[in-house]
Amino acid sequence: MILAEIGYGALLLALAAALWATIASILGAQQQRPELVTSARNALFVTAGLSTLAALALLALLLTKNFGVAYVHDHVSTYLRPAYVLAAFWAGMEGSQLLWLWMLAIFTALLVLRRPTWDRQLRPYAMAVLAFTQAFFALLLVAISNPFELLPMLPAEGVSLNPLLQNIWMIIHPPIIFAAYALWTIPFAYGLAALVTGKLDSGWLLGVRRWSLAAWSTLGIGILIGALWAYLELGWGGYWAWDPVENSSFIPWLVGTAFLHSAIIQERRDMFRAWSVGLVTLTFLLTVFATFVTRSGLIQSVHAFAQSAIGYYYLGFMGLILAVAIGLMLARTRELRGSGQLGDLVSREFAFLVTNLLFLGSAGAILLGTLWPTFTEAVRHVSATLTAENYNRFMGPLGLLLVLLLGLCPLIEWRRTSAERLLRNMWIQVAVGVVTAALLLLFGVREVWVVAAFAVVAFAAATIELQWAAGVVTRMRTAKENLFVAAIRASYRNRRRYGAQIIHVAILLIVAGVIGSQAYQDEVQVVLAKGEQTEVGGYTLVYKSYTYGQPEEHGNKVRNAALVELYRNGRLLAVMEPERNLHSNVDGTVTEVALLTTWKEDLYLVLAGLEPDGQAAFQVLITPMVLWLWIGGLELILGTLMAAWPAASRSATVTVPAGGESTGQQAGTSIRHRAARR
Amino acid sequence: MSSRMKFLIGGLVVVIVVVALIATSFSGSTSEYLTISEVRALGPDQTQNSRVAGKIVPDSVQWDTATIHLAFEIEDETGRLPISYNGPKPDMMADAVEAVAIGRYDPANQVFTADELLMKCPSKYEEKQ
Repeated sequence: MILAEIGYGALLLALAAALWATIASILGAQQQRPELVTSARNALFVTAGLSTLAALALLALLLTKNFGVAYVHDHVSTYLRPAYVLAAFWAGMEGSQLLWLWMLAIFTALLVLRRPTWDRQLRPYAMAVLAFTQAFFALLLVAISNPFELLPMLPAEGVSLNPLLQNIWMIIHPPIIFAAYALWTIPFAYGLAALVTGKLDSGWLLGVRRWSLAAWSTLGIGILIGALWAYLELGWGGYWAWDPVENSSFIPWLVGTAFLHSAIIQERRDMFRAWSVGLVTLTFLLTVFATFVTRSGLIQSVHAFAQSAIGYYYLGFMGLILAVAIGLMLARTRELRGSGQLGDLVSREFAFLVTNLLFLGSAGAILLGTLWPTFTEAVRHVSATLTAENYNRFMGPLGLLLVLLLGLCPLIEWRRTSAERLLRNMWIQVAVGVVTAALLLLFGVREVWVVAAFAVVAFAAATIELQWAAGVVTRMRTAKENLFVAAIRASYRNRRRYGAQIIHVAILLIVAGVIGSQAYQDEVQVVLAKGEQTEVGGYTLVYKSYTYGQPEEHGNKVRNAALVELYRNGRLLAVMEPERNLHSNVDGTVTEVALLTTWKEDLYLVLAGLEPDGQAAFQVLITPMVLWLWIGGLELILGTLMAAWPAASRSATVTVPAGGESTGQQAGTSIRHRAARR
Repeated sequence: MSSRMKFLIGGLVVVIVVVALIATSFSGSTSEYLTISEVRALGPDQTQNSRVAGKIVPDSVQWDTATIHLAFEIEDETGRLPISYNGPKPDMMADAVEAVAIGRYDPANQVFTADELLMKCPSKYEEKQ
């Protein structure tokens, strides 16, 4: 138990150090006493060390299966495989909050490791915000959700981890999400620092650009991995259920996306200053809210919320942050006014404004939907829940409008664009969209929304590809390079721009995957005896053999499995083995699905039931284009790396070549104009 | 008209359209949790899916592999309700677990036919207590 005491002690000291760092950095900045800021910096290294110590203590307790600690007892068992002990670390409230604190402390330490450059004035305030957030989580852990709490007795066996969480993606999904939340704290801290100091030009945005990108991308990947986990483990053939837990991570992602776009406008046109700082604050608050929502029981019921005081801690923290941010924004109204002039309504500025409104609108609607049961229960004493269809009805149109803007924005110029010029700029893209629609109709797609949705996606994809092609062609002409070299160099030289375009293509792939998989899903339920076969959607499934009621060695599982051979046109594609098992630590059965993935569609095989005599019930789901989502996710990582890759020759943090980028842009467009005029 | 006014009006129009879209998506088809007695009071002409939650009555779960059919009863303070579902038994379905059924009530046979079943575990992340 000494480890539990060390862990708790480390958290107590971390709380003290974080509080000191908060006070010292503010005082140091206000009274111009650099030695205080240095002391705060050291304190932040101390919190990083202490939270690491606490995390290691918990990990050691979990690994040594020390059931005297309540958290260990509740999440592991003697027979739990070592890999899943990691998943147990963040399977509960206490562990997740420790993870949050730990990640935040590490990122903060990495940030302050570098001496201030552009952020000489902002740094102390940013440190204060980061330290205060650390103090909040340390306080939660120390005061109300202590992961090192001891049980009065020493049980011989633990409860073990929920088998649904025993999945490789569940080992990595929570840490990625919490890393993203912790990363978002950094741009937020600088936003608040910019408000305090009144230095609200685009300096802070450029300075934290890579942190923002990392936070945004990490959150996106985390959400996708969560979807992948739901798809592989939950056995219903879907990847997204508009469940409160899913929603709560998606909402900050949407607002964070609006922030990234807002930052571009501020950087280029010195507009939207209030938007940028407001959106980053909102994103941070929503990440805290997400942790709170998934852990407080607020969604299940207002009564569950009232049972624990933890909700009030979260509400207090969020309320304080919100009040400070709003107060500062009101005090800085003059500095929040940028020098940029608004243009015409047909201008890129306005298109970006609409983009922000759509992102914010979607986020607000999902937030409202997530809280709907709570509101209705509080107001009408009857809890009403939004169905997936409710969400799809607004998210479908809003999402497609955003995709349309994604394709339209690059064609609209800053300040103003004449309608004639816009039409001339986009006729090829429109043609691509129309041809796509025609082809879909030709191949028998009859649902209007599917045809329209794919046409919009094709339109947007065409814009991106044409822009890239124009950039490459320019380079081939001016630098006299061949296609291959020009393509590589043009992309490398304009990493930021093409990185963003790669991310946009990734989003289009994901959107296409969502449209395809939502539009068509074939479901067949069939009962077979051993040796029988069935035809589903062009596949032949042959039920070869089965395993009934086989207890697993050194485990808590009793295995029921069917072995199915999958053929198409007489060719063996896969041997699939769906399972429906019993676990001693949960009631009821747990399905393990079998899956065949191709770029065109997924065949998802669920063992619905198995009798002792081998009679088996199968559920077969054929869902198109699911793989596109995961490929989009990989491309998202690639695009982010490219966009964030440091410029070799210049100092990495400050100079993002705004000028160079806009020349590339104009070169691209002007080439097409010339081509069009010919 | 100044650019500022144009942006304000343009932005306002977008906001109104978005809010209207969201409002229409929310209205009507959100499904309310009904108590079992409320479900039993439903007429044959109910227009939308109902959502009913209750604890699974011990020993009432009957799974038939041959027909892929699941039958069980749920209960709350207001009574018991037989549920019929065509599809695989949900994971972690067990006695006394709270189940949510979404579907239609058939007053003639006094059975609630579910299109969708959810097991309400305390939380996705928590193990059984």
